Amino acid sequence: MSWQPELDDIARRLKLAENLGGADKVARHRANGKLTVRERIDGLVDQGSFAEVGGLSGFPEYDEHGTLTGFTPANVICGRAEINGRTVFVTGDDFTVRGGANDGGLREKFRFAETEARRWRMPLVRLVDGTGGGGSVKHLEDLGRTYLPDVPDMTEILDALSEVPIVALGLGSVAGMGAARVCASHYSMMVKGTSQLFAAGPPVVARIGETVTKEELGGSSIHAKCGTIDDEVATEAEAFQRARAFLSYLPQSVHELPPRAACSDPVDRREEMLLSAVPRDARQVYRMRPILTAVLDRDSFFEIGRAWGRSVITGLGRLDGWPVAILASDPYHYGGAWTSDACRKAIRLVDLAETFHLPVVHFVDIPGFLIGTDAERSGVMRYGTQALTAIRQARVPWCAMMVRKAFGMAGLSQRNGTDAFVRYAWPSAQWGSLPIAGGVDAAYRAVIEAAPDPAAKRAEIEAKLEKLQAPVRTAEAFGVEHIIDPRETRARLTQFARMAAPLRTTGRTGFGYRP
Amino acid sequence: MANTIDASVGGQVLKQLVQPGDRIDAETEVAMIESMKMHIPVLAEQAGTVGKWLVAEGSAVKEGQALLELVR
Repeated sequence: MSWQPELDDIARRLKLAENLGGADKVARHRANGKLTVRERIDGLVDQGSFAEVGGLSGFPEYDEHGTLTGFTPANVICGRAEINGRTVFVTGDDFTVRGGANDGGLREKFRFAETEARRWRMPLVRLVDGTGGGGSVKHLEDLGRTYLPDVPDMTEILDALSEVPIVALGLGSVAGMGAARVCASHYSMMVKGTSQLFAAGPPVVARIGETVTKEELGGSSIHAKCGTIDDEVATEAEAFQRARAFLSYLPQSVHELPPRAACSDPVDRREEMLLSAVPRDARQVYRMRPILTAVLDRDSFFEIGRAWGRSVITGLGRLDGWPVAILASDPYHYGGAWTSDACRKAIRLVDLAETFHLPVVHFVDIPGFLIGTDAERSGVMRYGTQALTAIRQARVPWCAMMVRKAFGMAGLSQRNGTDAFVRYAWPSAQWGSLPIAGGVDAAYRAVIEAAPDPAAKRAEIEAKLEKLQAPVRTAEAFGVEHIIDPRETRARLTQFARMAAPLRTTGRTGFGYRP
Repeated sequence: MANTIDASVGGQVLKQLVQPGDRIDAETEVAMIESMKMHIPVLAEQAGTVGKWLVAEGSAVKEGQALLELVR
């Protein structure tokens, strides 16, 4: 006599679990433009690699003889799977069962799903589509009491950020704990039109006098522009593809090093456009992204956070196959001046790099922190100082490519705080404590005012100072190590990546990661 | 449907680079704003027809302020 009857029973239960919250709920879910949790997992991981954990868990119904008559699965689906051949842990909320809320799940399963990745030193991907942690206030009547807010294993859930890569996708209307689970990650996305995120939803917000739709309150473009999340994507499929790509640059945990990829792109490839990429007219802007793609391994640039803190471009890339973190200026936004948001975005990138041992390449064109009343009221010096601190705390090897401007305290962001630092300047570079244009009036006011033609005097002084500002004058004093032909940039950077590789060390950073 | 093209940065509007009735593509430079002593083009995020200007040349604008109407 074999154990086939038991296996048949288990197969039947798993089959029932595939019905999720029932045909009606699933149809409504799809009609809202969303994939089911199982379709999402299939779309995310390598084909056929999902090994579910806890597939039998849920809420059974038995008749008086103890025969199973119905089954509603727990609304957290989790398990191990492969992404590009590397093992990850995946957890997904099932919105079709009680809206993905906690009271449709099992506390022990939620705790397991959130802590298992850290235990095995593998990445965690969260597919968040739940209304929150607390469920409904109706719950109070069942309990006959209330309780102080807490989440089981919250300390471990947040500490995992200092141990393993966490990617979180907001795939529905997520509030409270669901929203926090999206934000408590190294890379987060929302899908345009089908996902919203908020501390509390429209019915609660109406009580403070704001009548808004879900989309007006917490649509993806709102959060992508203020940095609540990293990126907004057009479809769920795009989110899965980007999650896979993001993880390809990272180690499995902080206890490993980022893996090198194969590289067929010549390490000394020279792009002619680099020679004239920066305009000679200092008031004229230029596009930084084509410069990045010209010097990184072909098709390797993965931008993060494109819609917020836009004077800074952040992302991941590869040089001779080695993964690196990219920090760069975008002169199209305040000439590259660091706003409060730009500072916060830079911090996020540098902390990611430091946590997962990615060398950093910084393409510098920074006229300063943003100035003016709006900038001051946004706390730019507080965030700016935080950014400089994050950069000096970074122990990962660092390369500064001085593309154009580096002025004032913001200019200090060019370099980290260790000896593992390499710097090159383009001939278009200029730097100093203060840009000449702003400084001349202040420093030479008396001379200018006393001259018969003040405007001519100012121009004369400016012309004299501009000659002194040529980077070669700094190079004479070894204030900058070398000025290179911009077309050599890729050769220098791929060399940096090879030099940096053996200096990378595993382990936790000196600080805990704060999302 | 009327949309707006908003200032990508705060500063002073130096020049309107498109006129009402112009058909424009995404990435078209619609205005030049002076900010941080630089001339910064404002790019259209999407294609459309230029409606009316909401700010005059020479006026100061804040980041995110609507510059012109775009009719799709």
